[in-house]
Amino acid sequence: MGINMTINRLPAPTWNWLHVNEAALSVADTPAEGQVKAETPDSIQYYKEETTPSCFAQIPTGLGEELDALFTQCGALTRIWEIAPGVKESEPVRLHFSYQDGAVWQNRIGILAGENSAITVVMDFCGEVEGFAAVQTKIAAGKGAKVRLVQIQKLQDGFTFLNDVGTSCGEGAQIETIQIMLGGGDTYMGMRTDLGARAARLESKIGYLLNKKESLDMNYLAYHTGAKTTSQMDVSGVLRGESKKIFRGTIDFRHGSVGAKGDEKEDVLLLSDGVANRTVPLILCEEEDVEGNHGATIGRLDESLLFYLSSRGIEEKEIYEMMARARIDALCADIADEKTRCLVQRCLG
Amino acid sequence: MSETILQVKSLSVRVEEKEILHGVDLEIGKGETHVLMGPNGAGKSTLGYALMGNPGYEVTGGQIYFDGKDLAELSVAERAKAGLFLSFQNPLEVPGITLSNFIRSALEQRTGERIRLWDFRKELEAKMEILQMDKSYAKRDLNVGFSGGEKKKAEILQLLMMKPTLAILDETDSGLDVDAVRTVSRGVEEYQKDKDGSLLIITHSTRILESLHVDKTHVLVDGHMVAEGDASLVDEINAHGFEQFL
Repeated sequence: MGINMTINRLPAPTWNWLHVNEAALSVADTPAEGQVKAETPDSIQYYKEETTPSCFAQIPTGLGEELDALFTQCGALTRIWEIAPGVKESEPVRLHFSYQDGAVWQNRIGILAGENSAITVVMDFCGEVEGFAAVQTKIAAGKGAKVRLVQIQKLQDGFTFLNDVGTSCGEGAQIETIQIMLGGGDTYMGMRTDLGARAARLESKIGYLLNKKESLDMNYLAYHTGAKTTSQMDVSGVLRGESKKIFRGTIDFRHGSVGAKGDEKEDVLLLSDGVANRTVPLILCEEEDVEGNHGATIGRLDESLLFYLSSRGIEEKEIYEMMARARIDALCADIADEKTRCLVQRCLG
Repeated sequence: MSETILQVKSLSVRVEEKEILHGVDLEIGKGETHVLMGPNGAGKSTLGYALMGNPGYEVTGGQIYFDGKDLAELSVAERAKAGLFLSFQNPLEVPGITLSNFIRSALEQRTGERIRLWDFRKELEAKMEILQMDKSYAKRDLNVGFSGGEKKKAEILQLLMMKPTLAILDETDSGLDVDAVRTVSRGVEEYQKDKDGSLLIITHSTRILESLHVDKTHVLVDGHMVAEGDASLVDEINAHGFEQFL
């Protein structure tokens, strides 16, 4: 039985003929519970829930309600990693998702961070196989909590991957995410962050390298309802071959978000004529005293930069390779965990 | 004159729609140090860019021979591989590529061989010491957040590591304080000592020349070579300026 879904909806639709308002997706079978290999530090509690706890059920995600409904229809378990108030753990929780050929899998993850706690969760999604997987991660960060989420994806042609994130933040909570996408057939990524409490902060960094006929469809939303909240989204990537990418980035300043700041930046390097790149930055505003910015740099390398690098004997083709890799390396340098940095380097080859 | 390394014959260069150089001649021998002086807007940097093959600088006449090769047939990278080096007046920032990785990649591209990391690191650190550069700069992204002085030192570090046959230094001393000029000069001396390298120093100040032996001085005004002499011409320009050549 096939399941048809509409995901990654733009909160304020634009002209239909632009084909950016949403993404349509068909899933051939009902996904089964996927395997996860976890490494959990002693200070962090791990448990499973058959029904989604209310603290997570109320958190909307980037891919949207229809994916949520699919998880419910599957009877998905929620695997929860919980850190108690005041505990700051420097060693990350590591979750390895290794996909098998023909897999149609789903996993629902919950991260519960108590007041003034600190937790890092590193997820890697790997597999040189064809298949389908949907992973939904919901983060509930208590007052003053700091949650870092690092996700590395290295999949291949013929794999459809849905990476869905939703977060809610207490007063002064900080959410930092780094997502590195290094390959996959068709990938759908989304993140919705509700900055509902005063001084809550989101810092989201996304890097991708797309090749051949790979496609990446993204929907990132930062909802500011708390005063003095901040959001920062930095997207940096490279398109080669006949790859396609859509980035929807929405910053929504709602009533109450006095003094809030939101910033989204995109930097895309286009390395061949056959690529398709679409960007939809959106800033919505119901409050006067807010600051929202968006900027995009899209194109080929600057001529003067090419000349500078060539003047050291580096051929143009090699310069493009270096610059493509540099985008991921720059992102990788922000990952504190050495094991994860090594994993990224291994994936890059 | 020693064996000729660079021969520029009647070179004319256009940038966008404007002719900047008009029939410039220049000849540099192996191991020689030449100084190119001239007032602002004379075309000094244009000559440097044209020699290196910047695609924005169109050669409309004349020839350039480097080490016996006609440079018109070589791309920018091929010119560098042939042994030509240009130290930039305003080096560009390259996020994501560390100074160390950049130099190593450039050397590997040049030789087509992998370079042993241990040997490379040892040499890099030794050269950084000559230039009084903190070792941490090697791990920093190329020129990103470097001060003006550190950017110039990074250029000279590349010169020392790449050991070209001819180095063109485009206003390397501009914007540097007295101590930094001295340090950069030391690096330039080291380059000459190391490889018997030739130098074309583009400048309109003379501080960088104090500790270098100058073989020839050329004066460029409005895209024309108007005077040529030995090191004493530098002193003459210092004393009287460029007015006599205008």
